[in-house]
Amino acid sequence: MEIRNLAPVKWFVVFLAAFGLLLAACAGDSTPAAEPGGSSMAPPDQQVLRLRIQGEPKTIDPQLSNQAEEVTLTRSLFDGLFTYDEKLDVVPDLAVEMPTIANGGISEDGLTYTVKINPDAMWSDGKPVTAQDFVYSMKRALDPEMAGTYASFFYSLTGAAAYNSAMGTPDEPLTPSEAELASLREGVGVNAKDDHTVVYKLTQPNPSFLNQLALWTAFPVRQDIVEKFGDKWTEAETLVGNGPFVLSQWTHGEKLVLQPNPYWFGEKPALSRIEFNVIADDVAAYQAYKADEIDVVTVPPAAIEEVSQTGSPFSDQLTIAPELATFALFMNNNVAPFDNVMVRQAFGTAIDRDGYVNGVLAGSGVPTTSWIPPGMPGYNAEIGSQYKFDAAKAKQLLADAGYADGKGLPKITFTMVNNDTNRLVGQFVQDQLKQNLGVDVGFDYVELKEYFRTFATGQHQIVIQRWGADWPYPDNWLPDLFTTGTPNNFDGYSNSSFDALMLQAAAETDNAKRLALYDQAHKLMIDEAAIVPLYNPVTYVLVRPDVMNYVITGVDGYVKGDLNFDKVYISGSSN
Amino acid sequence: MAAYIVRRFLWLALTLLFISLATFVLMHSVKGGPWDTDRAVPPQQVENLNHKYGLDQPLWRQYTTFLTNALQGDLGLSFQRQDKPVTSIILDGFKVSAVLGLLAYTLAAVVGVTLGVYAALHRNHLPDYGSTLVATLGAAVPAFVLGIFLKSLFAVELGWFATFGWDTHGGLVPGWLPRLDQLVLPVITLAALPAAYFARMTRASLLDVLRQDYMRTARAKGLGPRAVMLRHGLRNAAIPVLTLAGPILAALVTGSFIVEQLFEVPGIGRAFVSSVSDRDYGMIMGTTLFYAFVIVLANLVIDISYAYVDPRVRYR
Repeated sequence: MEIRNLAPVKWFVVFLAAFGLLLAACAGDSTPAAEPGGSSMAPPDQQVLRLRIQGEPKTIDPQLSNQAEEVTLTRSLFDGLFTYDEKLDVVPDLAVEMPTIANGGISEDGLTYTVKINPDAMWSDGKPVTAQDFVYSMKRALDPEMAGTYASFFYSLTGAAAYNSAMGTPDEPLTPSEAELASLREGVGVNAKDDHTVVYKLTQPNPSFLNQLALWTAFPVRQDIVEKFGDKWTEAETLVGNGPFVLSQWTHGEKLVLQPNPYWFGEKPALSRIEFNVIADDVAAYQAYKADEIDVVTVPPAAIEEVSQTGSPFSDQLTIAPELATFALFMNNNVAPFDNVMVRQAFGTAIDRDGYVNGVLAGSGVPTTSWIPPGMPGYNAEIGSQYKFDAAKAKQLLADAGYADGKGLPKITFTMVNNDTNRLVGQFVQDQLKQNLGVDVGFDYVELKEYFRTFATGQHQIVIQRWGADWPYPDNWLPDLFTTGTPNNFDGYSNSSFDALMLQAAAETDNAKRLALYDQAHKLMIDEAAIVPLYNPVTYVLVRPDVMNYVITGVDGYVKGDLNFDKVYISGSSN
Repeated sequence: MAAYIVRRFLWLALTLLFISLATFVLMHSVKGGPWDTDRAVPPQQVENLNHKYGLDQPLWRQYTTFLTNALQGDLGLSFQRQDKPVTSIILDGFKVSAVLGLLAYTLAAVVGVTLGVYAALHRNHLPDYGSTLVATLGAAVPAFVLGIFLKSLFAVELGWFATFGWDTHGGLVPGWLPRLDQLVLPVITLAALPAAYFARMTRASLLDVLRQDYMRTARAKGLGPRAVMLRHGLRNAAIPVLTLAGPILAALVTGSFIVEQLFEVPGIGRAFVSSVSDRDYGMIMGTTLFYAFVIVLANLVIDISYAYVDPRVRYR
């Protein structure tokens, strides 16, 4: 590296010069004076939104993205056929209208979706967005050599599972030829009827198909750009997107900068610049907000009290944003003593949820006993009300299970990720179970990846685990987790009535009837304590008062508000 | 001398080979792999990922492939930063860490040596106690305490400096140095401990030299105090300091994880630690080897430089 050629003496000179500059800089006040009174919108050069992301995005390629930061970026840089409104209903984005059976967008049997694309939609280099772009991107999402981890969401398309599974499994690997791969790719049920009409064919009715098309994985990318630049196509110099913003700078590990896309088909964003600064540490991010270096921040648990108490200078900047997520006790239904339904019920009843969220989590959650979180279709607060904290009832349940005062119970060990919050949670839960059930439990604090391996392969005994919505509909919360033998059925729950209800719901085309079926299954599964819900997390978000139109929804990615950056502006009046 | 250097390079190669093997074995024996998440990953997707990153090969072949590629300067792909070559991530991170480290090193050497010399020349007087106090504080207060203190006071409360970042895009020297308000605090934080080492070592070494007969001889033959100090005192006092200088330089330029984390500097230290928790096999192997290479090389350079400073040392 060239740096070795510079003698230390030269560096010292540079350093001295730097110190001189520093003194000069400190002499003057660097904050610009606010305009008194101010107009309603700041001038264009001040239309800058400074945000924080926790880590360098692995990728901003829509077909490879799966983590929250990546989702935030892809949503600003790309537009799909559908998106969500503030109520989390699916609405058209690039699509001209919502496909329904009435307008012919969905076939009578629910197996063919025909979507018309807005002819005004353009890429950031001025070329029109076509149906072929969507066909290419969907096949790319399913390409086994891409190895995208969200591919399985689109297995309801004909030929999708076959194409994505062409490499086999680790136990039975396959080596398909180029020709075989090409023919499998050809067989995927997505086609361009004309330049602005794309047709999807499904193997079975899928009530959430439009929800899935609103996921970033289904966003279009440009074949010519991807093929020309290969792995480097997502760099600032090469990326072509179709979203409200384009990537103008990506200093790896440090920051990404977005600017408006001049060819975007929607109303031109007011923001002239969005900065995503990488700040790994939550407390550091909070300090950066306090020092006016970023405009939006998630409040770390340790600071929640400081910002939410009366008289806090931040009280008018605070939004409490519910997440579409639930934390629950996951007890392995196949491992003693949790193979006994009454033991699971006893554990679920023995924990004081108010003490948990307010005492341990500083209020960053709302107690719940039902699984599907509030704000989502299918939410029903009544479900699971029998698990409201009641020490006497819990003791009785445990006695009925044959373990009065915990006598005769096998050793119980929680597996948890080793971090500060979990140490507090562990302490609390241990005390609760001792106090309320007379049961001694142990804790095994492990590294994150080890925890995932243990839990996601069903080798745990009991854990506290979060489930967050991939899309806001119950099929992402019930069949995916509790149908017999489904991969995400971590606890090994199995009930044939539940399985039957899931099949019935999937085939039902009327939304109200379908939700009623899901509700019935939801109640059944919770009554049997397949899992026992504990709380719905909430995020405390601070937004500077001069940032206007900042709308937070339950399906936002890492940066809350990421679905609506195109409408945000900075007001001219000072804060 | 040439034979000595060749021999040392052979040892270097052997050391690196051993380190790579040990790292590879340890890395694969830790529970949990790179694809584990809070969702069950379908087996066909695990296979797709394994195939993409070569993990579907037997372990011994994965290792030999790594070695063959590493010899050509290709450390493979990062799993964590999808598809980015490990070599380029390391070089990007090293550039940042090295600039930060060299700045801190220069500051530490200048401040430390100055304090040490000053203290030795005023032995057991107020300046000596003062500089000893500063040096002891620098050595005793860990970087994360000092860093948090400096950051809270000068960045959050007073607002003189940035609380985070190392943005070389629009900095003092584009591509190399960040804005001044981002640069000062991390450099001072990183420099404090080595400055204290330099100060104490210089003081002790110089005091030792001042007692030597040849110093008296130099004065007796009529040399002025300045010449005695520069030509005889400091040159001889430099030898033990130099012993310390090598490892400190290597440690500083390969990055201080704590300072990088505290001030959100995108250096190699940060990338290294996250690679372990992410089970980013490519990055783990790459960064470990790179660290080992830099440290072994730095020690070699210091050993060779002895020969020039100390006439008693000659290598064969």
